Amino acid sequence: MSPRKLGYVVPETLREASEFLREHAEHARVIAGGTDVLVQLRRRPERGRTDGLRWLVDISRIRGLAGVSSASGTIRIGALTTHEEIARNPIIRKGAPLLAEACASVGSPQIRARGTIGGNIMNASPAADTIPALVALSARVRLSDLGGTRDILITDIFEGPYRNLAQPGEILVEVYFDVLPPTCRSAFVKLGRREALAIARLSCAVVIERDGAGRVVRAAIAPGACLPMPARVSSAEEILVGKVPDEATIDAAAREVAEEMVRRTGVRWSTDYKKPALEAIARRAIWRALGVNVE
Amino acid sequence: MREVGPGARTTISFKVNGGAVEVEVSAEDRLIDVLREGLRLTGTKEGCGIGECGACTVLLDGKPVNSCLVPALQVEGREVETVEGLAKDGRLHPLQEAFIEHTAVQCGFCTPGMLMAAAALLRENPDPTREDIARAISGNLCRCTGYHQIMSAIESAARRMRAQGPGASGAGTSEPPGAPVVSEASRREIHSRDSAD
Repeated sequence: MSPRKLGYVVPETLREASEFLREHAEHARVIAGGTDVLVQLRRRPERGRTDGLRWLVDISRIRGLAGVSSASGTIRIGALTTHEEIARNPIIRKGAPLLAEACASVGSPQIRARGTIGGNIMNASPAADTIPALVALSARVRLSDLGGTRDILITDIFEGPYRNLAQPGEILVEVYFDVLPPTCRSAFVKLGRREALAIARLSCAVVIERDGAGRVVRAAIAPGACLPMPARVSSAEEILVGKVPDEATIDAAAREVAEEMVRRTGVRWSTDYKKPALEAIARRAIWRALGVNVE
Repeated sequence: MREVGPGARTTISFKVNGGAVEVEVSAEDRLIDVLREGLRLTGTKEGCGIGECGACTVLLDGKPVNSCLVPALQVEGREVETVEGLAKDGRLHPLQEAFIEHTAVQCGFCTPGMLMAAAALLRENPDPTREDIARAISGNLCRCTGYHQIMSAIESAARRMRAQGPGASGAGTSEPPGAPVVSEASRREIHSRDSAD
């Protein structure tokens, strides 16, 4: 792994894991699929993620943290569920197709077989593929600690790029959200440098619900890899809501997504590229969430 | 709770190519370290070491994984298959034969990982489209061939394996670990094409 000397523990229960994490606080880090942690350990300590790290706490053997279930209109995904499992899962493909698309676009078959949704969330990469989809679904996450659990909105778990707000001892155990009703369509569109093994340069997750007349009653637009913190762009959503979307409306909403990015990040060296690219990605995602495939 | 302190070593048990093994590892060892250095199964190659090239692909409980991103301690009690496990009873796996026939091997460094990704695909989908094949090897970089020969080789192996019927090759894991036994002719042929070992 690296020249530093690391220890490794394999707790069998959440209690054991939380106790160890509390005891070792910033010197311990949770590992599951390892597809982010092992890469970060090999690189020079960057972004402070592995500074002072002495212990890896492998939660992959804790029972009950993997799998997808659906009850009373809520879909629950265990933190250890892999991207591959989510991408293939019939409950997800029907009830949250944009998340299946996002998981199918992660890394490579090898990464998808190992990487977990819990890891994707807690690693808090700005380019994480599942995060915009979960934000557009208004997903909540459940954190477990010795004293019990707390549930928070997914957007409240992030502190900044590669930083989450979990307390020492807290372990993400599941993420959950409402099943999308049949009146909803969704899309996840990602722009990478190539088809496979490309981290997202930009992405956009969209959920749109329409009434019988085709009017938009609800829209959620969450761009990825371009905002300081994962979030929806409500000003763009508002352009769609209440209308039967035509080309001009969709163009305006997509333009607003890109303009909001610039407002939140400021003008950067990459803005000349990112602004029109995000506008195009957002436009595609909105069209697709309306059932129209456009390039 | 299993605990391996910084710098300490412990023994893990798992299966490689069907045979049970015990290996001493440290907390920092990865599966690829265990395979190449602990077990001398050097067929598995390390390319990038960060999960981007797929050269180190092996099967873990039947699924293709980057062995450079699997902590050794996670392999306890599980099943690993490496390129050394593909040939059976002195015969190359149909994929290996097809790779030779289609010149799908140039420098050879990506080949073991490609073969394992392809083996995982054919086990799950014996009749893949070219699109399925492209997706299955999308985590494996090849800088020599341009991929077309590799995709043709996998298509051809799939045809051959379908013709031979289920269980013809590559589905079982009953061989003990070790270097594959191959015929003298194939050995020469592999040798002349593969200089990467």
